[in-house]
Amino acid sequence: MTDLLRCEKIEKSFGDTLVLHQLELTVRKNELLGLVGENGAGKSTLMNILGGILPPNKGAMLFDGQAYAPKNALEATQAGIAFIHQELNVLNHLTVQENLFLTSMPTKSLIGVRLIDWKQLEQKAVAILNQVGLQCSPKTKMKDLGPAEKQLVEIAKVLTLAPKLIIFDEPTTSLTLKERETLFQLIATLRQQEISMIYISHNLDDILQLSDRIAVLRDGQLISQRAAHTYQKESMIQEMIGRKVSALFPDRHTVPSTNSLLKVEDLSDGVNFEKVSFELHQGEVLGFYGLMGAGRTEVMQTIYGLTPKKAGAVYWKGDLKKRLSPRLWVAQKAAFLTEDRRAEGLMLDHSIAQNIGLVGLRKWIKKPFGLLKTSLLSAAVTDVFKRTNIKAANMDRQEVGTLSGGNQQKAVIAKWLMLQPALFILDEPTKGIDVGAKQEIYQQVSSLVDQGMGVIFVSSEIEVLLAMCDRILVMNQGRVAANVTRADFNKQSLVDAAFHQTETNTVP
Amino acid sequence: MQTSFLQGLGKMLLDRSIIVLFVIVFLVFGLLSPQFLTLQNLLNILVQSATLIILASGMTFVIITAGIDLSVGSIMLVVAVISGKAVLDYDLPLLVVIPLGMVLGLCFGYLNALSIHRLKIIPFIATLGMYYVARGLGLLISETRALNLPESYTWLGNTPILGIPLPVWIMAVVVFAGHIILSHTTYGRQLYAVGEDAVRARKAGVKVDRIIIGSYVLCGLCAAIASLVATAQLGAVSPTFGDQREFTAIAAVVLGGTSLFGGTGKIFPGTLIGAILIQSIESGLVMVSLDPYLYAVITAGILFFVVLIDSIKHQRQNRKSAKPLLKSSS
Repeated sequence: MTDLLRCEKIEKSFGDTLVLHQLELTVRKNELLGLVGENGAGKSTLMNILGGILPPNKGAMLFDGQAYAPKNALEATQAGIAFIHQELNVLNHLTVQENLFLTSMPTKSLIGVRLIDWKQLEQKAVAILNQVGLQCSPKTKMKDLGPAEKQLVEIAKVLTLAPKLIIFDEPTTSLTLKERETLFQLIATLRQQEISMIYISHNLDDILQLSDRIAVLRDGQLISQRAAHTYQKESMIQEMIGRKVSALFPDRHTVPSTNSLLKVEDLSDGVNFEKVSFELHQGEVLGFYGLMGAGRTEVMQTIYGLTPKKAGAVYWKGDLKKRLSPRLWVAQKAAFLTEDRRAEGLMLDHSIAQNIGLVGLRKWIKKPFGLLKTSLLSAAVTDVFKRTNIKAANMDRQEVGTLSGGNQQKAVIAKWLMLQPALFILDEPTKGIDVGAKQEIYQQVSSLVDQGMGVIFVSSEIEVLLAMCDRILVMNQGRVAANVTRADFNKQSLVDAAFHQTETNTVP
Repeated sequence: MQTSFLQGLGKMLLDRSIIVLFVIVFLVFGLLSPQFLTLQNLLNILVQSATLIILASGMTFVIITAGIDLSVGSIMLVVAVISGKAVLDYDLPLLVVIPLGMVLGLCFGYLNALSIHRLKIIPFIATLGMYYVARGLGLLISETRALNLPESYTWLGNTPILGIPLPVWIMAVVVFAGHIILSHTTYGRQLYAVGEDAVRARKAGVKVDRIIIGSYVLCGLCAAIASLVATAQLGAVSPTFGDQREFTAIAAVVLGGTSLFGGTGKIFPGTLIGAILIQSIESGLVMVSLDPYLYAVITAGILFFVVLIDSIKHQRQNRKSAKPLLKSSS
């Protein structure tokens, strides 16, 4: 097989930091290359270079037999390289067909005025939507589609450009299992059309399943690039981190106390979940398992007072709390790490220190004037910053948004640790972050529980929950489907409980 | 059953809040003043609202991009003064003066666009600057004296065609053209894309700068047309000409359902109805001979009410868009 893309000795540095070092990478014709590496390994930089967003400092690229040095995104597209980004780039107020052909609308001339030819637009849109297997009217407003359908529209949009190489960057993060299958099927069809692909993901199982070859990146260098069947998950992780991972999960040996921390009775929000009851004790890790959209996040948001409840009661250390609000919970030292850290957990344009200091501010207000004691605050922030092991050059000056995903997540955790919380609700804390950071977060959780804190751990990864939790609650279509203690953990039955669908109650 | 009927009715009224308001305003003024609902008065309202509709049509383009143009009233003044001078002092024919005025409007719009996209000044401040510059220029050229325009100019404002005065025809052409641009051209659809999210639009390959420049240029052009129509109707240009018209225009656009956050809105019917509504309220208040100082308060009250309804609607939509997992029967 011949090479479609060949990167030769690519170097890129930002200021003094070398991000890519003598990087060599090849993509063959008609192959799917899996690309893995920790956050900060240089994957995004490499992709930005391929996409024409950043120029390399040194090195050369060959694409389809010709020298390739795109000056901007448009040139990359014209050369035949297309991107499916992790964050969907769709315009919600426009229709599907307008999104598809926003810059290439078919027009017809009417007395010298170029008007959109709606008929032709619809025909073209239907044809391309069929190609990705999306059955919806092209006149549907984009906002009425689900995330998976939006992604299909994005892929369809890319296909209108007749690309030779499609780069998928973490395409499955917001998809349900079923939707993921649809995506994989589509990827298989694209392969038959002789389109090469680079597939970037932290989900190593997906990478192993999909790829023809796999490339591992670490510290800006290519560590290995071989046929996929020569890799195992463990060896791949080892190559990514550069050291042996003794154990991904810490040993959990503490036993939960019998003191009730949080008790929830028959909680309903009237829309997403119904009659959810559970009790969390001090020193306990309670797992919430379920498919995406099973109502787990919504339960947490309602408990934390972010969305109104319709019925049910919430007790905190035995006291009924009638009015739930984030203010109440912060006062009670209960922390909530939200699912979407970029949108809800962080102020991306502010410094790391400012973000960390935010929640615990009141503690550092001193009498008599009620002013903020900045010296005490910054001492405490520095302490937490070090404890959480955030990798950053300067916490006072560096903006949180410039950190890699794993370090952003650590910053959110650091922020809440300032409270010295008694309860920590973690909603998908390891979403989109690399193995090394995951391990640190698991470690952090474990040590917090050792100190007597209660933790609610929401996750779609059953392995993680089995390793970390004292008890697991399974949610299915808005209801609690199972409540199992550690002694009775059984992977198959938990997964079945999450997947089981009753005849009368299908997910829309 | 009862509640669901009421809910349905409530939803229907919310969705058509502007129409409901329209009906209420006409009913109230119709009851208070018997002359209000006469055909003659309704036609009067239409004639009087022509300049506002033209001005607000241009403003709609800018607001859809999530921008704002505070300079349109001042552009009206400077266009009126220069074209007035051209007629009075240089005796230029209308065939020269009208294009001259329109080109002036385009230029001022382009200057706004340049300071927004080249110098990266936020629209509010950029057009606020232009507000002072253009008004200052207008006052300078006119030496703060009123210009009284000759008959050869004012006939434009009064001559009826097929029984309908020329300003209404001009207004109709502007609204029609504006609507076609927004709904049936690539530029229009890209305008909405830019308004919703400029970064995403850029990633999707839209030339965002051009779209935004276009919106301010169109807004300036509309201000110039509004100015020419208004001078022809009034027959004079006073130093306060066009003063605060920008706010009435913004109010009309918002009343018509265009969100100040950008990405949504229409000239037809939205802005058209919004502008007529504001004009109707003003002339209605004159007819019931209320204290003129109360006009602004009442107009503001109605505007507040409409924006409130819009906000409620927005919240309901957000709640609806969260797909319910549970069946309604459970």
